[in-house]
Amino acid sequence: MKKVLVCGIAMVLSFLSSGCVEREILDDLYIETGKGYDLVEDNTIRGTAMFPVYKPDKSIENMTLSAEATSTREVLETLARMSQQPLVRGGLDAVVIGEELAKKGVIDIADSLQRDPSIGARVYMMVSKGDAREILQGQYGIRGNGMYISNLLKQNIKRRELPETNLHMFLFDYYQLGQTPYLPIIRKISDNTLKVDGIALFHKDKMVDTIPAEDMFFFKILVDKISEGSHVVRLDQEQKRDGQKVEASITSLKAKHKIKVTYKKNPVKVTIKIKIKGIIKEYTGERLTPKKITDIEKTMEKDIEDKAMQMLTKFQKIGVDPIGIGQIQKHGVRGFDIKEWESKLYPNVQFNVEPDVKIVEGGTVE
Amino acid sequence: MQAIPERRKISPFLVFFLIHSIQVGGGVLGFQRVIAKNAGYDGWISVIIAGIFTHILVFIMYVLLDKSGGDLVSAHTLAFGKWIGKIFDTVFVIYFSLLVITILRTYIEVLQVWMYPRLSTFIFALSFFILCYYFVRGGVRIIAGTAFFGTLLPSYLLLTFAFTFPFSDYRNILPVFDHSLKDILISTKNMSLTYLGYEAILLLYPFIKNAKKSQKYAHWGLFTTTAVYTLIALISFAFFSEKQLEKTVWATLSMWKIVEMPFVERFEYIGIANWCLVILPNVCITLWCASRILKRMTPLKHRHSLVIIILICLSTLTLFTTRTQVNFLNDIAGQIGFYINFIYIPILLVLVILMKKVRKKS
Repeated sequence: MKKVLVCGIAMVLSFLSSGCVEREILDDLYIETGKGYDLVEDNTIRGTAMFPVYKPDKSIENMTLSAEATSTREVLETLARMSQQPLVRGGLDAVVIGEELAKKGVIDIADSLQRDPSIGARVYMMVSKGDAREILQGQYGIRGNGMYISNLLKQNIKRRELPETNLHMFLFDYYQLGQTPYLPIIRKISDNTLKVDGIALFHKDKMVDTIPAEDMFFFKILVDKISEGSHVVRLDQEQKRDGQKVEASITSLKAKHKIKVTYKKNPVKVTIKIKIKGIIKEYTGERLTPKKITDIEKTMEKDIEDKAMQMLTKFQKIGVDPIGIGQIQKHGVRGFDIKEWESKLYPNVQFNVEPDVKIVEGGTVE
Repeated sequence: MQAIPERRKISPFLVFFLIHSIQVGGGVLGFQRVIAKNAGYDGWISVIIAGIFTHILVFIMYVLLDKSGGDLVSAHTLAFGKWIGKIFDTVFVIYFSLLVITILRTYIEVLQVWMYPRLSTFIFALSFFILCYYFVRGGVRIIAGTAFFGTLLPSYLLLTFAFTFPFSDYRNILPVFDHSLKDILISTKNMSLTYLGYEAILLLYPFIKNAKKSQKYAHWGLFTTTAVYTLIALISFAFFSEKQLEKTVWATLSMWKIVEMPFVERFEYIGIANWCLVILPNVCITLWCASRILKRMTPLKHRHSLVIIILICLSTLTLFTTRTQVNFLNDIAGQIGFYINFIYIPILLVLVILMKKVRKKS
């Protein structure tokens, strides 16, 4: 009898406690999938919230709301006030930051994303060429804009030249001593197409420089553990009958890098060994003989060495370290002094790039 | 003390689950920041050192229990006599009640921050306590059962940390011993707070068949806990950069943010809900300990002492409302636990040995 009573009370209580949290019905919410931030004037930020509205005929309409305020937090509140139904951030896929705002600093935005427990660590942050609002206001794909943007980046990370990126990695790099973060740049081509258009380099949380889209292949080799991507090699010595240079497009199946740092000071020597296994996808010359293949390998090695060195010296000059050389130095040195590293040691690091390209297949024709 | 009837005793191997499940509680969700505060990324060394200390203490406790021939209350009576002994009993009643409050309030805070901001502390605690009352009334055998399932069922959660591996850099912990010994020891002290709870053995002892043989299992329980904590510490050190970890209150939960499965968008919700199973034996064991001491030192029946403890805990629990207060609660419970375990227990052992000799002579 007593047990029945206890069970009864427990059941009543469990019903009661399920009533004490707020019920949220999906149809009555706006689920934000994208978010944009722009700098309008010196101290005014415009925030844009994008959410899909599901129509009776199963199509998706992308709606946006924009509001202006002086801080990111205020923007969120203004947006919530403008919204007809509650805005929830649990389904956020993409956060787009306008270029001008990125130059002023983005850590406030990243912090508010990190602080919200309903937002995942895999959210993509990106910098937009032009207005972030413009980007969010397009109509891309049939599955909604948020999905489109996140698929676009996912695909580019997995198969193309975009280095791995997400909210967690951005914050990791930002807080790590001896490393600076980077984010992809996105550009609107037409009302229903977007394009990945390079990489934004940050110093602390301010965007200072960019890497153009055609150099992303080399950047990815340097920063990612394992990468894919493709690169076109131009053979200088050979010319076709019409005077054009012979070109070969090489898709790298697997690229790995090893970074060795001599921990001694003055100067710190860094050797970056890059190993690439690739296949030739396109070749405009006449016959692809084994000798030609070695030629192509050599040329590609030279391309990589030149480009990588050019990038590394530029990084030193503007004081960014997306590869995390400082971090590696820190692992080998006790009592690492970040100030000394940034002001004296890093600008004088001697780099040495040793690429090793191996072409394993030349396609189905000879 | 009356002899405990055989049918109410538990097998010695269950001590493994009792010890392990009482040690793993709310602390796992956010201990990383505490140890990294002083020792930085050498914190995992502190985890291991603190683990070794727990072995020493449990060894001392077993010697103490063996000498006093009963539980903590008989040891107190032996060392201080009937009346002064009761004062020390009361300290332990308060301590165990404080543990109950800390464990449950910390868990409710996690629920409120991560899942339901509007969850009522009182209603949740009340329904949780009714469940606990039901288990504790069932006796040590039922509690051991909850400890068993509370260890096995949520153990799959360890696998989910594999999702962090693609984003982890294990060189983060290099160079090893970059911090001074003093820093590592301060972190060891802070870590020892997370390990607390194993002193429940002081009261469980008479309920174990072949109690002496159970020592082996107690040490295995401690070892498993140390291993799990070290593993989680290493995984989170690799996943977060040092300054990032400093800002992360519940590092273990934040790691679940990276989990991505086709059928579940936010894994933390599943993890936190599962954590209820880890908290349940935790609260049950500590509740049982507190009410057991109260029962032994007063003429009350166990049922009544249990209700008293639950009412006290329930009313105190709702008083803590903000982040700082919950933090303060954790600090206080940790500090008291530290002094009780590391200072009071060894002194008690010495006193028991002395008093035994004195009594023999007279």
